[in-house]
Amino acid sequence: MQKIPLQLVAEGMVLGRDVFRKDSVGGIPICGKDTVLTAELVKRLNYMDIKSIYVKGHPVMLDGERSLDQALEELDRRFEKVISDPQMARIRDIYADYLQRVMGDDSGR
Amino acid sequence: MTVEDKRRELKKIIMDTKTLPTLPGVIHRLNEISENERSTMQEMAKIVSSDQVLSARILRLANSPSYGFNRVSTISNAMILLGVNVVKSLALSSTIFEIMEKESVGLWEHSLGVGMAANLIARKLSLPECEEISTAALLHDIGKVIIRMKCEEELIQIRNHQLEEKTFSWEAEREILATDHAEVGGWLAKCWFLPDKLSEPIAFHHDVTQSVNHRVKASVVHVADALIKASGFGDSGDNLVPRIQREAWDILRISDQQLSEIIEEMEDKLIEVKNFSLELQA
Repeated sequence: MQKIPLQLVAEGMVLGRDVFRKDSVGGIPICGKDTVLTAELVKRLNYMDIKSIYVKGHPVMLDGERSLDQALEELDRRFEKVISDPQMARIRDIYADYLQRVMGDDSGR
Repeated sequence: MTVEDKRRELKKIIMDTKTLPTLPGVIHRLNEISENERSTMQEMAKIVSSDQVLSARILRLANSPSYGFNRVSTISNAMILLGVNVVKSLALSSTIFEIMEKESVGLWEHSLGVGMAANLIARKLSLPECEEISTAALLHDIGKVIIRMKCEEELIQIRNHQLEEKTFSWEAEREILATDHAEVGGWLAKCWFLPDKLSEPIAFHHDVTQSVNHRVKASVVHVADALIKASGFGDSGDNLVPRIQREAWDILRISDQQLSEIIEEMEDKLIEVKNFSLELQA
């Protein structure tokens, strides 16, 4: 599952989570999980001011974005100089935890 | 030539006002008027209306769903609803975008990210003047733009030094130029007559201990910069995460719980920042 900006959505991608209206998160979804996206649908979502959606799989490579393993490897490389500082190591762990949660496939409703 | 001479020489070259980017007059006039207690919203609206791009942006913001107002059609209504500070920040940030975007999209995205992150931290800690903090954060790397514009030759040396020695950009800049982008940004902020609460966080975002009057604001920018570098968003020219100074932790007192919440919300919002950046480039 991947969260991507609406602008990068292509036809044929499959919704990974229900989409809600901006002002009623938790209300009735306007488009259900597992829906196959069409150009028409994307246009409507855009009209409703939806900025980003969750899609199944990992169809888009955003800047610097890789698989979970690569993402973790890059995270470690970025922290190379400061990992011995306990507070900085804690920040690294929070990020690693976050990446594992959002890039794993069991997130969301 | 001593290091001090070199630095002074450079300051002269860099601050040559003829080639320095300027702030549009509308910002100076807004600042003047907003400091005068007797000025009215109508006077300010009149000034804003003289800039069509700024007017369009303000109306767009006032009508955006995040504010939840209905159909705001006049600049003075929009300004009453949004508040003078939001309008001033918006005027400043659209100018910065124009200056930066020509130089590099990566740096612009980094700056937008740090602006958003600083705002998030300030709100989470219930700090006063959140808008000012995010404006300072948006501007924090403006010195890099000036160095790129004015020191093209040295830039290659700086980049090489940075790669070879695996140092941070400001360390390499200090080695080659005897100053760094934070200090240069501070000079520019002074040239633009920006208030201390903006110029101090810009000048001291890599060393908050030097900030005398606005250390809290400088610390927020310092932490936000490190967090955005940690997430790998945008391209500041530094690929490594810098150490957050002990003094910044001490003054902000962010709990572990707050830190996780900040990072989570920040990552979520970065998607929208990316979206905004794509929209502006389109």
